Amino acid sequence: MNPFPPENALEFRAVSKLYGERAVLDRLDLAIPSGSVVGLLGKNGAGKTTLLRCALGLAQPQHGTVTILGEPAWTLSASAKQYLGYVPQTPQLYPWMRVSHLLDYTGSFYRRWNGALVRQLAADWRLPLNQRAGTLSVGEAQKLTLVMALGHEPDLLILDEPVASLDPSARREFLKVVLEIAAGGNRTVLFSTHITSDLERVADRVAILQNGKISFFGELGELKDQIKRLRLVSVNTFPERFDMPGILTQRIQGKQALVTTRLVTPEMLDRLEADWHATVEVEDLNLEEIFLELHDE
Amino acid sequence: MSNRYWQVLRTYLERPRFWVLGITYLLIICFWFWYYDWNLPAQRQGQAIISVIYGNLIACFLGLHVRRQFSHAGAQAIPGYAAPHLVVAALLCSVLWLLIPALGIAVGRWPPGVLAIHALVAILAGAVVCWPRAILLVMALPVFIAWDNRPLPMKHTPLLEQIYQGDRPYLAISLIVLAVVSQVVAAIMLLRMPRKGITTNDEFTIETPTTAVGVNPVNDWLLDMREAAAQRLTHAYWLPQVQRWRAPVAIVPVILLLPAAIVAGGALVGFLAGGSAEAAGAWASLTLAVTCAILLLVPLAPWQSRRRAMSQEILRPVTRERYYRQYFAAMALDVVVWTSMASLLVLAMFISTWYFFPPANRLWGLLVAMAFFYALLWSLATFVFGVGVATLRWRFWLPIVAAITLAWLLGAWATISQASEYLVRSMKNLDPYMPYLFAGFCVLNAAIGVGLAVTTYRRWVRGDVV
Repeated sequence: MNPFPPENALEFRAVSKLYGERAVLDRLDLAIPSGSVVGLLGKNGAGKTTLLRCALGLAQPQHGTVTILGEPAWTLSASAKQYLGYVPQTPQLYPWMRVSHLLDYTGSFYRRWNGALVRQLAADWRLPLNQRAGTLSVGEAQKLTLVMALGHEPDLLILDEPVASLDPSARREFLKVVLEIAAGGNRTVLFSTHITSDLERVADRVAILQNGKISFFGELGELKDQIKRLRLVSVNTFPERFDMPGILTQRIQGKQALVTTRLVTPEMLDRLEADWHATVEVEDLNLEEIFLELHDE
Repeated sequence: MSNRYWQVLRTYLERPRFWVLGITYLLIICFWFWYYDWNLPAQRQGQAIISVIYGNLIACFLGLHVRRQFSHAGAQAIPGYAAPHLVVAALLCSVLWLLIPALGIAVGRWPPGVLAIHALVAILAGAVVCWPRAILLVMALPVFIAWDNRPLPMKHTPLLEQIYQGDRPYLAISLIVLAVVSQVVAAIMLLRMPRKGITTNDEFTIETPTTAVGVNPVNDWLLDMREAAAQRLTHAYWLPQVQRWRAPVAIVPVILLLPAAIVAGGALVGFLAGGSAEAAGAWASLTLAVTCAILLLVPLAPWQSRRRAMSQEILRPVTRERYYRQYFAAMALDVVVWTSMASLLVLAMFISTWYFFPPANRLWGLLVAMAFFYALLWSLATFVFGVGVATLRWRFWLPIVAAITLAWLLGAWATISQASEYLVRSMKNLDPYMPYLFAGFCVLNAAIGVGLAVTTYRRWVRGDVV
């Protein structure tokens, strides 16, 4: 572990990344505290990979600054990289190398390589050490990449949709591993996904990327507390639209309405009941429902 | 043309590669048609050959494009899908192998035999449709031209020139028939592709699929040796770190001996065919020229396959600039190893031709000729290295770079071998400008190579990792 970890393992300040005319990231701000497990959620093409690439210094934003482990991401020093682990969506392995050699080879670059830990992880996850990397299944290749990313015991582990190509059982097993990693000390984990159930299982915080900005960043419970669905039934006919702050979506049909809102206050509920002589039920949403409501355009 | 045909044509028009190659090709053709005299056989042959090489390049992309259009289930399910796609592809291919030579013949610039040579374009397009790895055959024509113009003791007319002159009517007709057959076979193959369930894009990669690793026992044996070589580099902590970057593309020492065996084989074939040491020497020098050209390309090919791992490798504990510097240095080191192998072959060749040099200035002649060839070889290696790294991120890197490089090498080799022969045989009548011309050519090669490498390094350091 880094003896002096920065307060924020990763920090984006007004970051914009454009591809041609299209702004994939648009003056985005995000600060991920050290020691947290953050799930980055967004639709396909929302810019999750671009955000992670900027974080890793693989892509340079046109505006703003990205700081990782206390240093600018684009000019990250060799010593800072000793504390950084990365698992890409599609691992690029040298197909002819045997798994054991691949691990040795990766380890030869790190002064903090923990061979015992690597052997332990490889045994626990039943990695075929004598097999060539090119003949591994997708799940095995993904696990191998994770072992390679963990061998030097990084302070910050970044995973780009690591389970996208895995079947449900492999996904469950993989996430169990991520949980084990997260449980072991003051390690920061940032992983992108569009599978909300995975995120609920693993992350303690969630960042939602929408229209090039982070539309929410905080604890999962906080998000669930914030966003609620109101089921309204009235004796009168509702208007075509409710005009109240914080409304995300509304579906109104005569005397019934479903309203999803970001701000639920007792005053708001009282006002709805009084104005429309309605009964109001407040429903909790799971993360998938919240995600859909946030992206319902 | 109905809307469907126009929509299919648009799939070609919206790809910049077809515009770039097409416009360049047309400009070259127009330039030749209006400015060159076709009475000289060498010019006639050279220009038509470049036309075919260019046509072959475009044909490869055409073949891959149309194959992609049929490599999904929709090609079978969508009504009326096949006809417009096949017709447009056939028409575009016909422009390359029928219309352009026909135009040349009609304006009196090309002899009728040129049509048969251009049939190679259609044959290659058909082959690429049936088997995408046939794209590598784009290199076959430059190699064939080197062979066709081989230095034989007796005077001979190159085969291509014979076809131009109409001395080989059966061969010419056979080529044209083969072109038509390849188009028909390609069409049948395309129609059968969706039914055979060929629906992935994996087929377009020219690299060995990862699933094929370890299937072939010989391949497995070679991979084991490669692994051993890579292990040595991995655990050699006393070596500079640049050596460790070479481990994923480690060279198998036995493979380094292969070129020597090829050249020796060439000499043996020459001796058996010609029955004299002179014939053996001529064949060996031809094989050496081709082998040296290939040796310059060999080291960069594995780096092209490896480039996709760059976004992972750059995150190892090394700064961005240092990573790229070491990456380039490691690549250059591989080029040095293979070019040294070529240098040894050249040395062996010169020593074996000791008695061909005039006795009066044998040592001096040998040294000067060797200096010529080494300067040429290493400057060309620098050129190929520069072109190779500058285009490393191109998808169809190998065939394109190989075609460009071989075309360049061919011209260079023909010019310089003539010059050196002149030098060796007529030392006393040496043209005073020849060494300067030669040195200028070598410097130009090296400058292009170094310039491209430096520019690419700067571009990579400043740009996103792709």
